[in-house]
Amino acid sequence: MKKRGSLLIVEAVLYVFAAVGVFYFVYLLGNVIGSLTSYADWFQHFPYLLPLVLCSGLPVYLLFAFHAYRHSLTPKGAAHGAIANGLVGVVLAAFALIYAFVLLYNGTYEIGTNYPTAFFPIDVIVYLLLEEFAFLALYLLGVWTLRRPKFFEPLPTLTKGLRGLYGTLLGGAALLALYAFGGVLFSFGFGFSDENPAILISFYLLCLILTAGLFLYECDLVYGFKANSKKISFYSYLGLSVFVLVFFYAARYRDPMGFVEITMPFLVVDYMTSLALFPALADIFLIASNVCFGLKAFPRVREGA
Amino acid sequence: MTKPKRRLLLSLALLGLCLQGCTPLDYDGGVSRDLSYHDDFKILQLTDLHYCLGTDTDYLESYMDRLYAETAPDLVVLTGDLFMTANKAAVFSLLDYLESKEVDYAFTFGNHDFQGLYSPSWLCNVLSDPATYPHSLFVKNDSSARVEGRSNYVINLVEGEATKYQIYLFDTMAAGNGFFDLGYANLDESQVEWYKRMSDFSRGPEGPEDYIPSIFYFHVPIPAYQEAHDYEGPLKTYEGGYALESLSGSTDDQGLFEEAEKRNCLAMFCGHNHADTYTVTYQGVTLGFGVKTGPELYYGHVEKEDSPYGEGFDLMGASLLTLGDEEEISLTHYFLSRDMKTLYTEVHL
Repeated sequence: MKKRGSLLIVEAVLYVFAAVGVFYFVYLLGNVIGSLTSYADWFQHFPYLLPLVLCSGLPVYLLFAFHAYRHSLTPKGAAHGAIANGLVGVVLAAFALIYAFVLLYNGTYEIGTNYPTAFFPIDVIVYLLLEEFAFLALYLLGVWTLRRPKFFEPLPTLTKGLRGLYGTLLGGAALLALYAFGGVLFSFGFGFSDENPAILISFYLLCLILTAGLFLYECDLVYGFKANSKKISFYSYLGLSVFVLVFFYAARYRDPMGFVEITMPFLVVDYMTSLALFPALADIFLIASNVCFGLKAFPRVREGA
Repeated sequence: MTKPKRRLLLSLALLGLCLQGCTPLDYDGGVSRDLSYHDDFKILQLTDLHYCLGTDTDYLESYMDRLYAETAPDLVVLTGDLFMTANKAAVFSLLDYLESKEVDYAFTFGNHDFQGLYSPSWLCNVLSDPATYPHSLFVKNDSSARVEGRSNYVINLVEGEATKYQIYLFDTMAAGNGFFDLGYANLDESQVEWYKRMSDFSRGPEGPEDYIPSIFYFHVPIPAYQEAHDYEGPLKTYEGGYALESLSGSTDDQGLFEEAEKRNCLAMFCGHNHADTYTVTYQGVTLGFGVKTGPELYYGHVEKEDSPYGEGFDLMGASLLTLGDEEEISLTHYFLSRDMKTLYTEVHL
């Protein structure tokens, strides 16, 4: 139990890094589209952006690789997965790191240009170094697990059908939750001051509730909530979900233009496509998370059906 | 104090509060700036720069240097979409550049300007900071003004005691407020009311009989552009330019064009459609598109067979409006090629 708890904490830390990565990855895609005058331009920008894309994408890969390790059914499977993913990650991070140094050396990356942050390109290089070490650690974890299979404690298994259902629903929810959580983290630097606070708070809650749901689900797996606790957590999450959705839509209805202004820095894809995709997807995944919790909290209903 | 008296006092206090909320806006409500006018006053319109992470700022600055040098403007108006998926550093980069030219500049927002790693209020605060950017004429719209949008303001071109022209900047907003399909926003009624108040006041009880001649700048085309585009008849005069993409704009201007006609609006200019540069005079008001500045995102290209210059050219550059003493305006489009080797001019008015 203690090992499982420790691994969950490690995954939570990786989640924060991955959230920053996912948000920045989408932002970079927006930039690529934004600077795309022709294919020639795209190829011109691609070398500049490749280390940034890898830098923001690799933490997501690391999170999913580590998650796969924790959720493996056998120690052997977990070890092999960690070794393979660790090696791939080490190679990609090393490639990105070397490439970033080459671009720095040939003058493509200039210190003091303030792109994409004030610390560029030091921030990218430090982040890639961290990723290099993190993937190395994943590789070593795989080797360690292979040598000492007892180290690995599998999580409680679900029936095959449920595993697929939860994997699909919560996997999709996880990507959206990562993006939203990353947006919230980034937004502390946005400098909000006189925007509508009701919309801002309700939007933050909508962003964070998805992460809260995933965390609750993982805690249940690791610590094995008792039947009563499962029901309490289900009702609590359901109640919170309803509150957040009502609050969000009420605030949006009262000040629709305020909603547009506040969410524009967050929702790059939505405003490029002129479609409010994030709220719609957040609603869907919030409902899906509640269905998953409901199925776990009331197994008899499922059996009866 | 008896209960009815207390109630009466409370009611009066509440009424007072309500009435305070209805106090009519002062003349400018803090949303106008005065600028010294002279004959042949030149306004350079830059639009749709789309500064983003991958922007080659050195190139774009040299590009704009050339346009400044060719036109020698007295005022630069930037009609939105200056930024798209930008960050604070990109904003500072552009503003520092504009400031270095030592020419006053006015800025109105497009549908992409808030798509960056900063909040709308942060952007407005930076643009309206006189200590850092003294040449920025941007006026941060006070929320107590109760006018929708963040970049509605007026620049009065003043000669002596008289206002010779008024330059109105309208915020055509970032996006529509549809539930799922966001689309383009329509102008809000409060903006039209604000315009009416401003133009009425500037005429004043003892002021000139006619309304002060005005020029509008905004980002997304209002429906009058589509009407003018579709209309065939004596009320329209084609002044020149190219229409290489289908017009995308808002669907309701809440009567702005009608009011503009009545209130001596001479011309209005927008951005947004990168490959449209045409100008028409419709029902007495000139409607024009600015020439997209710089290559970011996309721009139009006129093929050799359609070109009056004997070779194809890019619809990229800027437009220059010159204001004369007798309400006469002239408009020239500058097409500076992407490699900056060729510059063509096209006179519309």
